[in-house]
Amino acid sequence: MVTPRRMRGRCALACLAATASVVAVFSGGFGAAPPSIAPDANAAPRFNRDVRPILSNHCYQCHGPDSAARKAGLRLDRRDDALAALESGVHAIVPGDADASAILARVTHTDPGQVMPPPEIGKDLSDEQIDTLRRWIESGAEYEPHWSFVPPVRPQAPDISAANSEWRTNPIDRFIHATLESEGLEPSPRASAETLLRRASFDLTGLPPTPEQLDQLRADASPEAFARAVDRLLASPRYGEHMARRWLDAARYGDTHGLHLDNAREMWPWRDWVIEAFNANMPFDRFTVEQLAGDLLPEPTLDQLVATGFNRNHVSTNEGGVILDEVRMNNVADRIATTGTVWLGLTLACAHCHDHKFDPILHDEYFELFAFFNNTTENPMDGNRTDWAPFVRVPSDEQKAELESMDERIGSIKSELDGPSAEIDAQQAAWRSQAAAEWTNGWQVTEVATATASGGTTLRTLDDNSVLAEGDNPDRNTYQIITRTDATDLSLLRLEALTHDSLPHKGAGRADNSNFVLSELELEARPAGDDSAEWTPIRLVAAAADHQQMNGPYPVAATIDGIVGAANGWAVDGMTRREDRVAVYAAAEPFGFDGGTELRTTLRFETHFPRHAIGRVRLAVSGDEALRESVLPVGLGTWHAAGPFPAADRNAAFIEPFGPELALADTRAVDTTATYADNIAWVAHPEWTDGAPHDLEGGLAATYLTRTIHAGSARTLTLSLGSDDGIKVWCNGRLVHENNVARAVAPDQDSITIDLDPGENHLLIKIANYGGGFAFYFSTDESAGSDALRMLPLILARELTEEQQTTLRRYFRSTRSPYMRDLAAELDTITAERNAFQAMLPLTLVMEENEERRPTHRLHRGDYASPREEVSPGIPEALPQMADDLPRDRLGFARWLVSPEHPLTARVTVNRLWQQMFGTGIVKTAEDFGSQGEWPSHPELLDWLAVEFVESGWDVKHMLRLMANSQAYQQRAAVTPELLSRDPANRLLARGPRFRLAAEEIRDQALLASGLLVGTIGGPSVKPTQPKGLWFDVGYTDSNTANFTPDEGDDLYRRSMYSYWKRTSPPPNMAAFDAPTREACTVRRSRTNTPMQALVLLNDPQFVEASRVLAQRVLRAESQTDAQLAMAFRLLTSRSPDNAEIDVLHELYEAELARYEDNTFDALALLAVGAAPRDESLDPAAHAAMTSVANAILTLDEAVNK
Amino acid sequence: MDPHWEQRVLQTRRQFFGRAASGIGAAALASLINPQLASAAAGGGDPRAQGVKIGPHFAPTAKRIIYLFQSGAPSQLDLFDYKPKMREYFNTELPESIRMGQRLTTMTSGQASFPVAPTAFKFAQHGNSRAWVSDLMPHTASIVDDLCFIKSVHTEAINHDPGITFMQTGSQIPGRPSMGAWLNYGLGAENADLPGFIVLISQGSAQRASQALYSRLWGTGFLPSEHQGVQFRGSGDAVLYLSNPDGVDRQGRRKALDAIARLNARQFERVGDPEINARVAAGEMAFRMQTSVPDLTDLSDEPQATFDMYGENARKPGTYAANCLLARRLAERGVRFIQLYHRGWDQHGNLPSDIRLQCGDTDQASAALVMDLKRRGLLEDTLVVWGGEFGRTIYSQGALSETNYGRDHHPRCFTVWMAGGGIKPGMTYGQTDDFSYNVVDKPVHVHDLNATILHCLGMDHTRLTYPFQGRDFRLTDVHGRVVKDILA
Repeated sequence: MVTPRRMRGRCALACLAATASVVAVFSGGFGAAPPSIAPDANAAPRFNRDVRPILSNHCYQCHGPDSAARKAGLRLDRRDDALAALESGVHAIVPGDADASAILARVTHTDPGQVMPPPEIGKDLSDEQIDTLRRWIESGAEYEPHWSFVPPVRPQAPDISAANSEWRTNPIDRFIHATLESEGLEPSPRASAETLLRRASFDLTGLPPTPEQLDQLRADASPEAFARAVDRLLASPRYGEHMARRWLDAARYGDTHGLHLDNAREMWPWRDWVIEAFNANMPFDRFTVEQLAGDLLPEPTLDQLVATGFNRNHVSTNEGGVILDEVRMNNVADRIATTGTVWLGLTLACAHCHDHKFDPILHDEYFELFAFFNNTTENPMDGNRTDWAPFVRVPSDEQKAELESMDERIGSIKSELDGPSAEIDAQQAAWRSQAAAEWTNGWQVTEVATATASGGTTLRTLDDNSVLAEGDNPDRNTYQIITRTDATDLSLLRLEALTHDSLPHKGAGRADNSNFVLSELELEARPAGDDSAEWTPIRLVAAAADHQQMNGPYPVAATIDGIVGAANGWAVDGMTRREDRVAVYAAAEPFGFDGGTELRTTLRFETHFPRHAIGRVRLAVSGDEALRESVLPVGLGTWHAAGPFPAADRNAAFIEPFGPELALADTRAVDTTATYADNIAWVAHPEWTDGAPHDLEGGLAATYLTRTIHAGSARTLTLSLGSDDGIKVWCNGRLVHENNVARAVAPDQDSITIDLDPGENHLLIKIANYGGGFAFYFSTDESAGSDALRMLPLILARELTEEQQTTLRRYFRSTRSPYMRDLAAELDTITAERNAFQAMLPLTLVMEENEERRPTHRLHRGDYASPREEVSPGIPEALPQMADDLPRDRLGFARWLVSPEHPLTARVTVNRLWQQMFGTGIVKTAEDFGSQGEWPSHPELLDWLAVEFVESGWDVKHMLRLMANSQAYQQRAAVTPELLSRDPANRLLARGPRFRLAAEEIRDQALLASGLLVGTIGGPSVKPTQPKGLWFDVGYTDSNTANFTPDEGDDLYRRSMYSYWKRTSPPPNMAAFDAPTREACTVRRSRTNTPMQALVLLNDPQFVEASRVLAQRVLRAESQTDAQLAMAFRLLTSRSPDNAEIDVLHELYEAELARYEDNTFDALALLAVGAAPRDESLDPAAHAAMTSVANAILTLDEAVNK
Repeated sequence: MDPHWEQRVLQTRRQFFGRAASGIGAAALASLINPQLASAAAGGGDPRAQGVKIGPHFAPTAKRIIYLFQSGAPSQLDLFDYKPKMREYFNTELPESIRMGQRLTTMTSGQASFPVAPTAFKFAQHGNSRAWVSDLMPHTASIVDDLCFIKSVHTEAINHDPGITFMQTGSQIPGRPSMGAWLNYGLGAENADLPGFIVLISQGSAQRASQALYSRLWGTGFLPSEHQGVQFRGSGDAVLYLSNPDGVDRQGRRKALDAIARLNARQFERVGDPEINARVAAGEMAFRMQTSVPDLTDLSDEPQATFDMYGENARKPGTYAANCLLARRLAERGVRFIQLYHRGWDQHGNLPSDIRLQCGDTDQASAALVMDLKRRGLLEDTLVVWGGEFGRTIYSQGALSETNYGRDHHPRCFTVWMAGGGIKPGMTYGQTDDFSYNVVDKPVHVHDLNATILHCLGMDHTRLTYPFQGRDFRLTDVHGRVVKDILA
């Protein structure tokens, strides 16, 4: 039998973490030196720049660090090994003697079976590469340590011969210019002020300059004008947003989980933390430590906890059936890959399954890194929840104040309700002993004569006249207990179900879980002493109990309803409450015979719950009238309904008062003869039974329900309510409950207790429907009896827990004083409000460390199911080691990353900043500084910047300022064909940077230019309009993001970084312009040029709307057409058009105007796109024509480039 | 500004532009079809990029592929993998000799027993090839002589999200390019008026909640994003943002594009960046798509016979039948990769009733598509693939009766059929045990299946690579072998 291999080959899972994503278009390359910076053909090759890329890309796979993959014992990444004699006796490399070096013989071999690399791996060497190897061996075959693993030392900025002294001041320029000189190139002249401001504004804030800002800069002739503009941009809060937007790609931030259901996730407070951190110019070392390990700092602040959300951003799943260990491994692996890419510029994931093929990261070292991140408390599965624990609530300042004021009020009420008071406490003690006496002394326990049971159970009489069930416990049982009493004029029977040590869990029931269900109780009487007398049935009309189970038809009243049904009986939550229980029965007529009475009590246990009999029973009788009154049930009147009252929207349905609610102000009663607007009148519903949901009619509307409740004495009544959707309840004109919620109806969704006055009470309920089903549910525990009865366990118990004492104290105080009663009610209300308020506060996921370290094992071949030896947190040997005083946890790791001598963190970070400003990093492979990464175009400059960054105190704004103020940055971007062919990617910077704007920048520019942009910073993500059905097409049916509903108003016009990011279906107009899905870490976006982009700019209603509003803006601002056209052009390109350009625009405008003048219908149709209001005073034809022109300008190459 | 410098730039620019304007336009257009050409034409990019072997590595047997993906994992046991012996095993425990302690999903791993649930459907042999098909698929049964059933496909994933991601990208973890993106990157598009990779989605009729799809399934991962699939939609614009805004007509759009082109040309003169011309070409293609796509989706030129063949549902945009018909029309227009997804096959419970609904959605149209392609002579160079992300278990998930049962996910074997494009017709490949639990003969791993698909399209799966993060990535990772036995 062949069993499919579960794990295929070596790299089953790995190479899995193709995480840090995306390469600039047309690039693809690595390993080679940047074009145009080819090494001098005569100079000796340098190992790092010229030789390592060849060996790494063509040879290391079989002759590199991975010992398992090594062939012929040859290892070429270390000089000692490369020079040593091989198994065959030959030497691969003989320094200074290429002809004696076996490696050269093999790479030049003509036999396909002998030549290296083997042709089938498709890595043939070029003649040029072979020549490089030859010259390197001839020159001595010197090795260098991999450049990026050597700590940077600040190099001297080179002297340059630039005629223009401006190039001498900024060290960046001296490095750039020196390279240009050596290449025989000249820099380009300085770009115009407008171009520069556009460039810097986009690079530093992601937005174009306004016309006012352009004018200001043009008017300022001083040499420092541009530098001042840069300072202004760096100080703008837009800077923080722009920097954060880039960081969100790296941090794989999204508003949904990303896998399977792709449900909503709440992380935006973390995103806002990032914005604030950049705006405050938080030093990058602190920025790093707080995000990776803020929770481990001593007494972390809320902000520092929020920061740790960085590593909770990864995609997660709750797919049914997934295996926890596998998911946990994937989650941690994502953290390693992301952290490696963002801070180390290393492809650590390659070592998940085996030693890294190219870089000195060993398989077991990978798991030592893994161990740093494998000790957090979260469940690997996200539960499909927004609040995937651990998380923190992040209230705004106002919310914090609100919360504090509620807590204060709760505290003060509690101290009044619960605080000690000698006087009241004494009263309470007296009341309690009196009440206890009532339940003991007011009753006469009857004396047991005989007690029998069916099915092999025996009932043994104990000293206290209780009977204890022993022996067999059949599925069904019937007890018959005959007792005697001398009392007469009896009206009440008391049944006690008592606990006993011999019963399961020392409870009162005989079921394994210690519960019982009593189906029916029957009482008969006859004169004592006459065994021949007939038994007279006693009619019982009411029953009450100190507790009854609420999760089904288990009220004590079911024991006298004459029905013995499958689940019809009195149950008591015996599985959780191992307590004595009491039920009291009221007879219709007084009973008892002069000269003594014999009572025959039959207890039936015949529900479908097998063996659920009572374990120990005691019976008593009483004739107390007051007690009888408290046992009698309330009288529930017939339901009446009025409605539906249609509402404008969901909030109105709930909040707005309609007919009966308006009348409430005047009276506590509800007048069911009244008629309201639109002839809505009360309709009686005698068919509505309690304990079942009833459907109502109507759409978006409210309907009212009312009934009377008659109480024999002042008492409370607990209601079980359900509603679809929102519900409000008034009792006697007072609002006692409200819940603004969208849901389907079910029993017991809301449980409330109302106070009844003696006599007639009026209950009014409002059900607000938000669409779909419309229904309510109602039942009461009315047969449970009075509060006093319910308090009985507490009254009778000898010792109370603190919580029970509080319950009893509050009960006593509120029954004795109306003030205390109101206070208790207020406490309930405000506590519920506080909990509801707390539950809606923003939250964000955080990291939390296990107290006891979770062991990390090396996973053989990266397979979660193949753990091998345990490993401890540690740093790969090829990198500098952690200082001894650093803890071996995430905090230590983070501090190690930002230790000043770290070779990678500063280089990798300044390289990304350079990429932001110049389009391409000094190391183009911003995600890979390993040996397969690209050799830096300006290695010394990179080191200079890295050292400068650390020595400036990791000051990000300082670095960006340095770059923006360089001459290199400020050159014109125009390129000659010669230069284009010489340096197509502009790696040498003989011209200024010019490249297409990012997706967000393109949309934000359109919003800003039209004046639509809403500048609010932070807050929950928003949903601007997108084509219908995109989420539904792909979404899991039950996902809470299966349907997209656009936002309204301001939320349509926020900066694009706030757009809701559903990772399995990101905003389509962003995706068209290369925004990543945020499923994985991305530090470099591609910049493509596709037809889809043209369709977005021309037809996406968002862009059409922006064009329309932009047209409106220029039509209002200028009176002449050409001035209007020029203004529109300038708003989108940051420059004034020349005459020829105006002519083109004008021609288009006139043609469009003519058409729209002939066709107002089309003009109005175009002007109706989008939600922004139209200025109806403008001529529709002119407005529509200008809209077309604005839209055309928006599509220009110049408008989508910086 | 340095006037001498400016003059120099303008002079050389005008010479360059004047001499090479048409050349650049062509290059820009080529970039839409094959970005590597543009890279070479622009004289730019990384030298290595030009070394990547692009284009067919050898003569292809298929020019295009239609992938009929049945999302949610259809039950091989109830459709194609006939196991008559299972009747005797009804409601008996799955033998340990078969299960061999292999992992289960946590949905059923806690089940106290694993009772064998034989299929409730009748099977019969069909055609000259005598292929077994259940009575759920009468139309498919009628074309078995054109199909190659692979009964021994197996995968590594045990759940939907990783499973479907693995089938379509060769990795269970998000981040890799999809198969369509790889082929689009490797071969480019054939039609200048339509994207080379088009995705069509339909919703199933089964009662259960449908498993999700993810835009990553037609995404590009680390490949340049122009290779991503373009979703054609059943409602609204067939392609996002295809229609002009209300009140804008085609002539107006033409005028606007002309104005844009003139202004962009001036910008090119000033700046000299060839990307500007590529942008003009992209705008032109968008303009052409505005007519080519509606032509494509307008079925009024289809005779009644078409709808007799595909079913009347083919008139309803967004249905599987309509998507199959659209797939044929796309194939006629030379679209390289046509990816269908039909959702709703995840039958953990009530399988017999739900699978009947799903088959009702798909059987007739799938068969019609193959017949239609064949009749038009397109089948010989169009590869059709039908299958889901894994199989389903012989044991019942939840309660089992003669007529009702459910099946959990089963990665160890499932059935995929292929047709046309160089695949041997009328054969069955691979075999599972009596329980359809383990492969007993000729296993075909997902990487093997994908390698074979690439092979049909003329691509060597080991040479279709892209360098990223220091290594050459491929669809099949470091695995995969072409299943030569099924090639015609």
